[in-house]
Amino acid sequence: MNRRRLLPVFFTAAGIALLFGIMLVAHRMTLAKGQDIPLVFHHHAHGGFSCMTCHHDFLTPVSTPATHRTCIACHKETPEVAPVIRDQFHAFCIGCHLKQQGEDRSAGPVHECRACHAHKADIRAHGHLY
Amino acid sequence: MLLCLPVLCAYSVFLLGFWLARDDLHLSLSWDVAMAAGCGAFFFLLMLFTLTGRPLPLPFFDGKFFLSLHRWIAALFIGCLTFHIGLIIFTDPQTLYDLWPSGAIAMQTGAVAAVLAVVTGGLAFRRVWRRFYATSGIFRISHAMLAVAVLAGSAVHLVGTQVHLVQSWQRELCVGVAVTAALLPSAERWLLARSAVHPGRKRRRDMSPMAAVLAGIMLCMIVSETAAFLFWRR
Ligand code: HEC
Ligand code: HEC
Ligand code: HEC
Ligand code: HEC
Repeated sequence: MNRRRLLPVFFTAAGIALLFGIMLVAHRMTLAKGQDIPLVFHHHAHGGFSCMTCHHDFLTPVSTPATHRTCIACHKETPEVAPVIRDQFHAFCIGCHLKQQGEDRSAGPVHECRACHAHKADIRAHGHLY
Repeated sequence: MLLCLPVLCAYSVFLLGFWLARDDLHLSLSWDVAMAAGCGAFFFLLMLFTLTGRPLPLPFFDGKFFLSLHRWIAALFIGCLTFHIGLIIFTDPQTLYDLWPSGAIAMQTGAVAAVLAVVTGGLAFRRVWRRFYATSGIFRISHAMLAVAVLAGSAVHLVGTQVHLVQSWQRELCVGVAVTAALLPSAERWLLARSAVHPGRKRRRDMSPMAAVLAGIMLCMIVSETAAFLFWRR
């Protein structure tokens, strides 16, 4: 077969590879800075709860080498809990929201990633929910 | 009509397998409908790999019928895809942030797959591909490569977003189904070459109008089954 006739096949392969390649490289490059997913958390929405529900280290201090006193920073610096931050916090935050929902009370987001992880905290995360 | 029953069964298995694990995942009606449209789009994509336009011995000995059916299913696929993307952006405009390079990689893979799907469909119009490809054989290779890329991107999108496919058996099912679908056209070709029946030999009258009817019936079936499923799960 004429080699020139096969050019479209090479262009197809190159096009596909280029598209996915650009996506991956751009993604890796922007992630290399290692920022966290910005988190939305407002204390005023959680005013009905005892501080100790969440600030568990307040009355029962935990043994940790961490120097930071905020939840995520301390967890990140504590080797035993660092690998499970995602699962533990998801279970913690979403678990309570689910429980609230189950009891038909107002609750925070459960499934909507962006309600908690917003690029800009002041953007309305819910959009139009009907 | 013979095709309808297997399609219905396949879609039931599909819905149950891909959507059963999370009971809690009903945000709002529009969100659910958007997800259902995505589910349907993936199903139609798989069907495009099953009914490739190559004449099969069943149900009609007519080459045009299968090509026409393939086109109609492709239209349904692109339609569902557009609906899936449009509605989710309308429901949750922050989805657009995922297009930013640092967004969720699985969403970006889905977006790339969608772009490729439109390109694949656009290049497949007879007038268009004649201009770009010297022979239908070359067009077919290129079309297959694009199609597999769309399938792979979609599978990564489904597995990677971890919204509906949360259990490992579901992810394995999804990957398994995608790999099977990717291999299906070659397997079909191999089998047909060895089978006694030679489709196309015994041509009937042009059955391609039937393809549109069949595609319409499939769409109605799938929409009503999805609606029933959503109603049941909510
Ligand atoms: C629903 C869980 C929850 C409740 C209830 C809660 N907090 Fe918090 N608090 C948090 C989270 C989450 C943070 C953010 C920590 C981070 O950024 O890592 C935080 C941060 C803080 C900080 C800032 C810490 C710092 O050094 O920057 C203070 C102070 C604080 N909380 C005090 C309180 C007090 C006082 C109460 C009770 C009235 C309370 N919190 C109730 C979850 C809670
Ligand atoms: C000074 C460090 C420190 C701070 C601050 C801290 N934690 Fe922890 N947290 C730990 C350690 C260490 C553990 C694991 C040991 C334990 O369970 O006591 C833990 C465990 C947990 C667990 C799992 C508990 C369980 O029963 O499995 C949750 C959930 C949690 N933290 C949430 C939070 C939240 C929310 C905040 C902020 C409001 C917070 N932590 C602040 C160190 C900290
Ligand atoms: C003890 C139960 C409880 C825990 C733990 C909890 N929440 Fe909530 N959250 C609520 C309730 C109740 C509401 C609804 C408040 C309302 O709207 O009246 C809420 C609302 C919210 C909202 C929506 C309101 C707003 O601030 O925009 C967000 C976001 C949120 N929670 C994030 C979190 C995050 C992140 C965590 C984990 C660090 C968390 N919540 C842990 C009970 C909880
Ligand atoms: C109720 C609020 C809430 C919801 C809803 C939520 N998350 Fe999270 N997520 C958190 C908290 C709190 C953390 C721990 C803080 C952190 O690591 O930045 C976290 C951490 C993460 C991390 C790890 C981030 C890191 O820096 O290592 C990922 C990834 C993540 N979430 C993805 C998701 C996805 C995907 C969804 C939607 C299916 C989701 N989250 C929904 C609260 C939430």
